[in-house]
Amino acid sequence: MADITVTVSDDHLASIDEVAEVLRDNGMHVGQVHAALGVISGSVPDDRRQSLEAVDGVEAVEEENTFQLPPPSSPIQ
Amino acid sequence: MTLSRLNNRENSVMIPGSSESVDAGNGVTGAGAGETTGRYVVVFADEDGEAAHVAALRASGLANVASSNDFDAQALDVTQTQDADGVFFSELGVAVVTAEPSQLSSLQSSDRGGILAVEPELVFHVLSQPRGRDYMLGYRDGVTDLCERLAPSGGVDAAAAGTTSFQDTAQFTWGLQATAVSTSSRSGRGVKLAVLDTGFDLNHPDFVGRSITAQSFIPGETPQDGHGHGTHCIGTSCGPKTPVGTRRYGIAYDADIFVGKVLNNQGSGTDTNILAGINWAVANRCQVLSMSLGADVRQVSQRYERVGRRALAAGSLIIAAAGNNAHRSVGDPGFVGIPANSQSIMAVAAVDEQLAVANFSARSNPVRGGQIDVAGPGVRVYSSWLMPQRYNRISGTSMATPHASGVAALLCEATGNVAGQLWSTLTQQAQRLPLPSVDVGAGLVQAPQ
Repeated sequence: MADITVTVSDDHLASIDEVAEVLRDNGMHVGQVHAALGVISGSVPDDRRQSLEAVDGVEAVEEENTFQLPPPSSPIQ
Repeated sequence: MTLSRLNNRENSVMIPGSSESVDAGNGVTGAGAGETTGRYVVVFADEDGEAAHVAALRASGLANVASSNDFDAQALDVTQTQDADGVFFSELGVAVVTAEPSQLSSLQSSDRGGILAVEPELVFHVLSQPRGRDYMLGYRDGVTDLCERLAPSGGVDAAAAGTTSFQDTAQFTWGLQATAVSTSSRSGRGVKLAVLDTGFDLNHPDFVGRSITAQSFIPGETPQDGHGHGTHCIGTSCGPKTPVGTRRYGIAYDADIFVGKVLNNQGSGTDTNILAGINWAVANRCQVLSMSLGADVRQVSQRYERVGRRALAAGSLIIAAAGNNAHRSVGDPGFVGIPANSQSIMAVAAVDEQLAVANFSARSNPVRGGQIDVAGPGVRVYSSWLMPQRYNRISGTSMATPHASGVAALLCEATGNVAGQLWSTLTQQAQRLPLPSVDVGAGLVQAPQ
């Protein structure tokens, strides 16, 4: 299972909820639909990931990054 | 897992738990060009599968390639791969190889298997300061303070006086002088400025009476800052005009502050947290989004590229830190990472009091959009911190970024420009510096007068 972000293409922004439904049908656990940005966050079993990339209106499926600041005591932040 | 819609202006949603992964980005820094291992790192495009990647390596004469897929849970046993020509990390799409010169040139010219880059493997060190540096900096600050008390400079602009060296005065931080905020008539009034970071110390006395909208996107944590980083960034971008008992350190003192907590109290956050914060700020029509965060990843992330573009279309300009992965004193200029390496997101470098590039400030990354756009004061920056400490002086492109976003808020107020137009105004009005554009972009941001 991988945490992912799905980027929806410009021509499917208006129908992002429908795209999310199809993603769910293809095995994605949909966490949030960010309609203002056209991205959908969630997770997917490793063997279902490729099927998400083929969904109409999906521009990219990317794994989640982690961002980490230095500790508060660090002189460089 | 429930579905949460985040398209309404007032909506804000707690994010379901997401798995935390160990960070391998910040906290380590590449060493100089001389400190390589003799091996090479081959970076593959994501589109092709592992089979194509391994085939490309073998086509270049590297017959004996081990893959992390061969080991349980991808926990590669280094001792078992010592005799291999190379090791392929399937999750990363990266291989580390030992190659003869002929094999190396074959790899570099290969059009097979989606090879994006072949780079010398660097020796990495945990980021640390030379011993005694803190003591010397403290000593110097003490001398500077003594000079100021005995012979106050009264906020005289050092550049105007013929020298290029700024210092904090009793009235202003050096950064506010260098960016001409100290003489600006603008306050950021009517501008919504979002800082997506570790939250904010909502009990800080310097911000009593301010318009603050705070929202946490970290499960189980309130917007209250438990780190200090977010409070420092908000201090620089939005701090008060006349703080009691200290110099002015804040820029857009009349802006509406939007606090989006996207990094937890340990300073860690994921795309899920950050995208939720961006969505919230854009939906709330914030004209400026300040993001002093990044991951040391060269490749552009499609999601941040698209998100930046869509934010611009909605009237929101995202300004992000270039990154602290340079170590220029030993010849490593670093590179702009995610998300600042997106074409649709501004990247801010850091300069010091002499307007020289900071040792840690990352250089433009050759990927499209990976360039530095502007520079801001980012060395020994004095700003607000968690109570009871109240103030702190720290360095970083994280500190340069809120200088740029605060100045952007003043320019937004002065011109009415937003999004791409505001971006243009920031770069057009920047003070050119006699430094490579790959290091400082269009130069040092300048406030409207």
